[in-house]
Amino acid sequence: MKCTCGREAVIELKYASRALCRRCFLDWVEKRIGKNIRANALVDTHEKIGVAFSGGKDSALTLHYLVNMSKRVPFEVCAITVDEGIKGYRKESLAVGKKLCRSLGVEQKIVSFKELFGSTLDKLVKNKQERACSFCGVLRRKAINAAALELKVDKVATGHNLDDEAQVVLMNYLRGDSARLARGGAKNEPVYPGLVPRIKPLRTTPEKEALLYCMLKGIEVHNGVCPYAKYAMRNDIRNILDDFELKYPGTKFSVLHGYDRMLPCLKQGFKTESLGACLKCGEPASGKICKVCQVLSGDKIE
Amino acid sequence: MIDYYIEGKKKKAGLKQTDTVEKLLKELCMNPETVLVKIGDEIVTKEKKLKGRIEIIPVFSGG
Repeated sequence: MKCTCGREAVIELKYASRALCRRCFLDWVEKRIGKNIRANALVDTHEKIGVAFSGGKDSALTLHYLVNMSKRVPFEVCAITVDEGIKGYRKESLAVGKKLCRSLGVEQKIVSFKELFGSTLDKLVKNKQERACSFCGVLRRKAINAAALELKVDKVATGHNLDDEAQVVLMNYLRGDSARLARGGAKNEPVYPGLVPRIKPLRTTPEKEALLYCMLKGIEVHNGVCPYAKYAMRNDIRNILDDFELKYPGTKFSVLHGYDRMLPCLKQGFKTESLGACLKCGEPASGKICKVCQVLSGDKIE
Repeated sequence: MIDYYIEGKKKKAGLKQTDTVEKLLKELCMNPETVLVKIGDEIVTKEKKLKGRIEIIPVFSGG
């Protein structure tokens, strides 16, 4: 299979009816990330961006791209890594992540659940592994935000790719969670002092292309799968979307674009709730008790 | 029979070297959207013949 430039193709992009060689593919991915950043004004000059960096392909590509961009546009990049305390998984990715930060010359802040919350994720979810992903999501957001405040970053860039975004849209539909649907998008604006805005530069990059980009660029990444991932509803949604993508190329982009067109209406209909202070810890909370305190006390998250 | 590798493990498939990557993935009931295939040092597309060291790389990682 040949690229439009005549070279041997490394990937066939059915959704775009084309095949691309190494050079054209790298250019294709970089241009699309750049377009997403510009279209949604994700990065401003002289900002400090903290990349939520796990050492996996998505956050590695995000970090790599933003570091290169910061050579052309004046802004600063640092990395925030969370050690959740997951045996047989996180230690390996931390080692890979440290290496990439060193090679890119990026400051890396590592925060752990143990030091922040007094326990590892493994201990927190013992005998209730099926709740690991929701527990981890809550605590990781808190950990990243705490590190972002400490590093005085203006925005946190996450590695959410097209597949992640399409999965979340579908998942929220299936759960009937319209309020959560209204909080999506390329940029999460702050709703409470002390919450750092989050941006998603890879939102339009398919997961497969994020991995291929890292491989072709020689970016060493951790390819492991979290041992708790199998318990998540997201797994089923991922399979559904992958099957649809095979049968109907472009499905994931369609899900995202359709959602983006509805987003202004959703935001209008579900105005961001004003947050109060958690009765236990004083941190921002949508109810009386914040989600972090609910998780730490072993309660079911409301 | 041909050998292929997935997640560091060597496996066998009842195919010939003249068969294609597409046929291998079909044989293994794998969705081509969810994997990359490397033959030798090259990432290849579906029509490539199964000649050389074949590695199937799952796309999904993380959590």
